[in-house]
Amino acid sequence: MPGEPPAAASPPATSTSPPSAPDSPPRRRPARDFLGRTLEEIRDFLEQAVFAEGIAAHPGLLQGFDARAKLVFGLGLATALALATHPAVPAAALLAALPVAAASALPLGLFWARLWPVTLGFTAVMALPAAFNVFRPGPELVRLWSCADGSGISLTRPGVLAALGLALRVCAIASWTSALALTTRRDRALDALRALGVPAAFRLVGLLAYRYLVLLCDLARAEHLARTSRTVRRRDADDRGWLAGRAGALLLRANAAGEAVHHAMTARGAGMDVRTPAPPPWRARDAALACAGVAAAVAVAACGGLRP
Amino acid sequence: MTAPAAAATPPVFRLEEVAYTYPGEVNALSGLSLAIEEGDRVALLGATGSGKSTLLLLLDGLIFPAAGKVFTRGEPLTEARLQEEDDFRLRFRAECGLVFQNADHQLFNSTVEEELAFGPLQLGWAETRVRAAVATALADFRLERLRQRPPFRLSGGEKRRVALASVLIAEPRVLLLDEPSGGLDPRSIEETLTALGATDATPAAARRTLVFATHDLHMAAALARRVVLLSEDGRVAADGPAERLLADESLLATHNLLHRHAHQHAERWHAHPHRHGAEPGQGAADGRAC
Repeated sequence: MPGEPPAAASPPATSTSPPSAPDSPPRRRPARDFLGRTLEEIRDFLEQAVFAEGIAAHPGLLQGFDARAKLVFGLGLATALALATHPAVPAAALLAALPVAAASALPLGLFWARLWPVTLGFTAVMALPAAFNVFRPGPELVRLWSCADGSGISLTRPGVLAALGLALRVCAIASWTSALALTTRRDRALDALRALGVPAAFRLVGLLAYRYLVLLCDLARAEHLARTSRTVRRRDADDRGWLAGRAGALLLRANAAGEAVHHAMTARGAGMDVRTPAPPPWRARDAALACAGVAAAVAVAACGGLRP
Repeated sequence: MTAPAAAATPPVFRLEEVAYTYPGEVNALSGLSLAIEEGDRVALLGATGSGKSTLLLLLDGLIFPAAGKVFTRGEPLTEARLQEEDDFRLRFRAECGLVFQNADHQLFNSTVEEELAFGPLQLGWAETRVRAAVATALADFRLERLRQRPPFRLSGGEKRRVALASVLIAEPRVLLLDEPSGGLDPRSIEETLTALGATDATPAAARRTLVFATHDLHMAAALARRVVLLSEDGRVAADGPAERLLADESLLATHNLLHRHAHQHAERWHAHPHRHGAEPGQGAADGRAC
C-alpha cells in the first residue's frame, strides 16, 4: 500500500526479547496456573518412570539378577522385616540397602531426600502414639506432663523402641522395594509376577497402564493448551471447573486412544498373554538371592523375631 | 491382465456388500464390494470421512462389518474365527501388517528395540531370529542411535520410521498403510517412500500386496498400480488403473482430492487444478507447474 512502510522495515513483535542460544537445551518455565502446574507435575512423574526404565537398563549389582529372583528375595525380606521385633533387624536391613543401591547406580539422594522423609512422615502419624506410656507402659525416658496425683504423660523406653522399630521397618521395606523395583524393567517385573501365578489379564493391564497414562496426560495437556490459547483471562477456580466438566470427555477420548493402542497390539499378533523376550537362564547367583530372601524370613520367624 | 493361474487362486481380500456404522449412527461404509488380488498395489483415495481408515481396520480383522462379509484367501474373516482358531489367527496376523495413521497409538513399548521385537515375538519367532531381524531393521531404517530411546519421545518422522519398521520386520505378505505421508515433511515422505521402495529389493517383497489410504496423490502415483476411490457415503466411486484414475481431474475434483487454485503471476491472475501432497525430493506442495 502506498504511504505505508514496508512490512519488513517494521520491527517484529518479539525483537525486544533476547535471542535464545541455538544449541542450549529448551528450558521449561513452570506454569503459573493451577491446572498447568498439575499437568506438568503429572508429566514429571511420567518422566520419572522413564528415568526408572533407564536405571533398570543400566549395568549394576541388582540389575544383574533375574526379576523372579528379585521378586522372591523382596517378598522374603519383607516377611522377615514384618516379623522382626528387634530394631536391630530393620536397622541392619536399612544400612545394607544403601551400599547395594550405590552399587546398582541408584542415586542415593532418591532415598534421603525423597523416599525417607515421605515414609517417615506417614509412619510417624501411626508410630508416635505408641511411644507414650498410655499405650506402652514402662520405664520413663521423658516426662511431658504431670498430674497432681503423680500420674502423667511420658515417653517410655519400650514405647520409643516400638515406634523406632516400626519407622525403621517401614523405611527398610520401602528402601529395598524401591531399589528392587527401580532396577527391574517393567515388563520383566510383570513377567516375574506371571511366573508366580498372577493372571495374564493382570499382567496385560500392568503393561498397558503406563501407556494409557501417557496418552491421557498428552490429551489433557493438548486440551488445556487449546483452551489457554483462546482465553484472555482465567482464574484457577475457572480452570478447576473446566477440568471437572471435561473429565468425562477426556476419559472418552483416552478410552478411544486406548482402544487404538489395543488394536495396534492385536494387529501384531498379541493376545491376552503377550509374549516378551525369554528371561536369561536362572543362574547360581539368582538362586542364591532367592534363597537368601526365603532364609531371612525363616530365620526371623524361627527365632521369634530375634526378640532379646 | 491377470494370468490364468493367478485367477484360480482366491483373492487376498474379498468384501461383499460390507457396511460399517460407528456409534451415533455414523455410516463409515455402506454396501462396499471389493476384491484385492495377490501382488496388487492399491491406493485407497477419498475425502476425509469416506471410510478409508475403517476399511483398513476391517481388512486387518480389527473391526467387523455390521452387514456383509469379508473373506481372506477365500476364508471368512470373522471375529469368532480370529478369537477361537489359534492357527487361523497366527496365519492371518503373520500375513497382514498394518501401519496405523497415528504412530503414537502404534508405539507402546519402552524402547525402540522392544517395539521392533514385539511383533515377531507374538508370532512365535525364535529369539535368535528376532534378535537378528531387529539388528537388520535398526540398520535398514537408520534407527541404531535410537535403539534404547522410548518411542513416544521421538520426532514425528522418527516415530513413522519406527512404526513402519515394527510392521515390516515381521515380513508380512500383505502390507496395509493408513496415511503413510500424514503429517510428514517432504524429506520424511521421501524417506518413507525409499523405505517402502527398499522393501522391493527381494523377490518376496516385490510380490507383497500393498493397500494404503492416502490423500497424497504423489504418493499414490509413486506406489500404486490401482486406485480405489471411495465416495463420501462410503461406497466405491471408482476402481481402476492408477495412471488412468489419477489423470482424471474432474473425478478427483468431484471427490475433493483436487481443487481449483487461483494465484497471480506479476499482473496476471489465473487458476488451475491444485493437487495435494508433497512432491518427493522437491519439497513442493503443488504438484503442477504453472
